[in-house]
Amino acid sequence: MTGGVTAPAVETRNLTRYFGAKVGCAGITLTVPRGGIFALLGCNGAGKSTFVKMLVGLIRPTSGDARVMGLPAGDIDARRRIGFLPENFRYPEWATGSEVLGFHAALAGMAPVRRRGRIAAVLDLVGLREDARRLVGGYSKGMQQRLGIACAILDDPPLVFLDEPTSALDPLGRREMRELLLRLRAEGHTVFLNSHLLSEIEMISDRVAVIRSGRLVADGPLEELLDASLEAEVRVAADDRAALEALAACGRILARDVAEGGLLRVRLALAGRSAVPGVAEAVVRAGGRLFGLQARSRSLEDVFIELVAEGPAAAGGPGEGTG
Amino acid sequence: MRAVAAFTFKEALRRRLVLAAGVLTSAFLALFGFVAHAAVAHAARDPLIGAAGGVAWAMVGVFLARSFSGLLAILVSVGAISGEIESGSLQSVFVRPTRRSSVLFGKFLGYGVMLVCYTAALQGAVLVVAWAATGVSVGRPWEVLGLLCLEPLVLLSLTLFGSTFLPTLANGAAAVLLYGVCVIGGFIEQIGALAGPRALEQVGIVISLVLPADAMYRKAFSVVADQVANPVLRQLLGPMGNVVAPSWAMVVYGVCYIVALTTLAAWVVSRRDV
Repeated sequence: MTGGVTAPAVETRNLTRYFGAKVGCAGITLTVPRGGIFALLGCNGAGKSTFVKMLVGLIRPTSGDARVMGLPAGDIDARRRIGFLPENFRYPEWATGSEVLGFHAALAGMAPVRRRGRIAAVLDLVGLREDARRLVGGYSKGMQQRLGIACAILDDPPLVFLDEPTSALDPLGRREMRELLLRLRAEGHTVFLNSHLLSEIEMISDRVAVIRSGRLVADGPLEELLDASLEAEVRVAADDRAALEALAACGRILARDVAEGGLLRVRLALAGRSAVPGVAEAVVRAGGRLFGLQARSRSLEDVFIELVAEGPAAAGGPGEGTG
Repeated sequence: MRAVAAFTFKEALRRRLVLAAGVLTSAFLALFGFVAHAAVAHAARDPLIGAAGGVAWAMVGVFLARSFSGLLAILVSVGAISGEIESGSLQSVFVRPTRRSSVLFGKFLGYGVMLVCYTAALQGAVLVVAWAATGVSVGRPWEVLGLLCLEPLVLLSLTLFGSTFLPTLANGAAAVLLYGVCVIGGFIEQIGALAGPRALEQVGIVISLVLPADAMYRKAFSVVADQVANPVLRQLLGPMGNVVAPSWAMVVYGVCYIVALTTLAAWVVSRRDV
């Protein structure tokens, strides 16, 4: 075991995977620090699952380098330090929930004495204790997903990869899952999420990365990402050409419409919170009259849609899988 | 490897396929006992046929039973790797700190133990039923059962290997077809040895080298046939019987085939994307 204790949870350099002529992931360089909840976002087929599968050693990269907890991705020692919930999976229907967990505990090399306690603990955590002796074939999709999460955290790994962990859960189950993820973060684990549920990601994530057509288009702390694309709503007189010219110079005009009182409401994309006072200053300096200025962070959904829609799609199409 | 073997063995026992095989096997044994008893009682009027009847019926039973265990070997393991990749359950297994080759060897061990138990019980029961129905007992039964158990293990190694790169359905179809070809190859070899031309015999040998499953059965048959002094009786079953017997070198080849194919399967599964 040579993984440095200070190494990032995940570190990739130009990680690339082609499936024939199609690109799965292309040149992804990303660092995920230890601790906290990291979310990888992207449309279906963007390459999220391909990227995660390379990190957990299920598929080999065409080129580039990936390290997990300071160790080469896929290495047995690296795999001792991770838990993984696949996107699409079905556990054996003939086995009970606790048998599946017992099997995974044995594969993880857990000592028999520790197994029983950990299995009971994770069953409690995911709310499956009462159903542990039932056959998996009789589980609902949500219960199977809970069992998958229990498997992923069974050995208490410092890094947990969860691919769409709440996709089959009802609203109550999602809330419980959020609480579980926050608890894992509080205990010092690193959680690597792949998800389409942007509102949930926005509630719990510390860092976010977005990939489009296999290429990384954004990466950073969630707050910075949202702040970097701040939106200002400005109200000026409809015929105030000087004010409109000043606004256009301050940032990209997203929309304009007529508000109450014959005023023009302009939505302006700004490069950060620090740019807000400059808007007022620019309008006044240009001789315009400012009737209102309100800055607000955009939702993650707004930012995501802008990021994945912007610019031409990268070369090649989506790769294998749906993520 | 032990955890995978134990889990696979449990899976093999719990799946309905094995339950169905158990029920059908019991029905087969009852029917076989009844028919063998009636046929031998009828043939007893002819001293030559009467003496041969016991051995002949025992070998008919063994011939039919070997196709049960052969098909069970294919059906139980047809989706061992590809099916579990399709369902996604192998993803969470391969992420564990266990070598993929250990997972494959564990699966071979789990299925193999189940198949050996099934084949030994089935063929043992056939010999007992044949003895009860005809009064003829087969000598060196452990040697016969050991050779008969090799046949499903050969098929298991083939199906496991196919399962590492073929989809479940294609693997099942390919394995059943190959098994059929190898049984027919055995017939061709016997016909060639009995009536010529010699080229037919050689075709049979080549097929046995590609898939030595039938050769294991033929060798088991020859151990039984060697106990029968009358050469006419030895040819009684025609192409189902044993005009020419595989050598012990072929048995060694069969064992090497199992080891080589399972090792190759482990190599393929270690390198493939999941």
